[in-house]
Amino acid sequence: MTLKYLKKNLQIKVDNPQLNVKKLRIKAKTTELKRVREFMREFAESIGCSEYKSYEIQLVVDEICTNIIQYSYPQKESKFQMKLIWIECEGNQKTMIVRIIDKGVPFDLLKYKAPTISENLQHPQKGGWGIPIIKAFSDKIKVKELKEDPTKNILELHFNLM
Amino acid sequence: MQNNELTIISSQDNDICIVQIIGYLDAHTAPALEKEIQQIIDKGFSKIICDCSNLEYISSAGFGVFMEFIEELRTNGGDLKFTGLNAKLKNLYELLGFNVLFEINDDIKILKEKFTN
Repeated sequence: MTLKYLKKNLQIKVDNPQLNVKKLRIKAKTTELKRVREFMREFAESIGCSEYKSYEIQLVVDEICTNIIQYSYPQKESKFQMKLIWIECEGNQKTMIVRIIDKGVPFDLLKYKAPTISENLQHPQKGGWGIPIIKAFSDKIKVKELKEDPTKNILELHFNLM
Repeated sequence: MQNNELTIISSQDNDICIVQIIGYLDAHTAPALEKEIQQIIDKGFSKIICDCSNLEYISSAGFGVFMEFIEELRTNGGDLKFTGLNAKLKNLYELLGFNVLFEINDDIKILKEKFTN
């Protein structure tokens, strides 16, 4: 985490004292998905998010972490690279922002053309269902770069809670 | 099959197999359901009803399992039908168009009758 990045986050907290902030670091393994959902549920509850919206947010973050675990990081264990995912949440009663950070192979969700639902239904596919869920339940998706550390991929999701 | 997050209980009603999916179906637990359905097909069943009355959560990995088998089941003269979906799951099924692809009914008796007719 660079100094500039931390300063930027601290600035947000100063600007809006009511903003709650919480972070989680997990290993990039599917065994961690339960912990991710629990973390998201607890954070959403802490800012007064409805149970239904919380469910949608948990699902979106689960789908993104699953994609990182299964596709961004190489499947082979590496002695030199810890396969980690960082999740940062901030929010208040009106809005929630989730940043998901990894150091795997970059994947631009916005540029990826997922099969449409009708395409999926015409030719049943095992995969391709996660991205429609992510796009349907997120109000804004940003793919960010950290110039100070280009090895990190940052996906920022915005959820309107009102 | 049982682990901390997902329990699968299969039972037989004539030529229909009823699969109760209990708990959380995500990328970690989906392989267990995949294995279970494959075993059901290997036993010769092609008519399957998934009872989701106690399914708390499903991610795309779970939907992927259903899609993996649907063509095979229909080719064999069967199908995959769903009962017991809660409101959250129903909305998700509708979002993905699964309500068009699969028959969903709260009354398992109706699903059984449709298989036999």
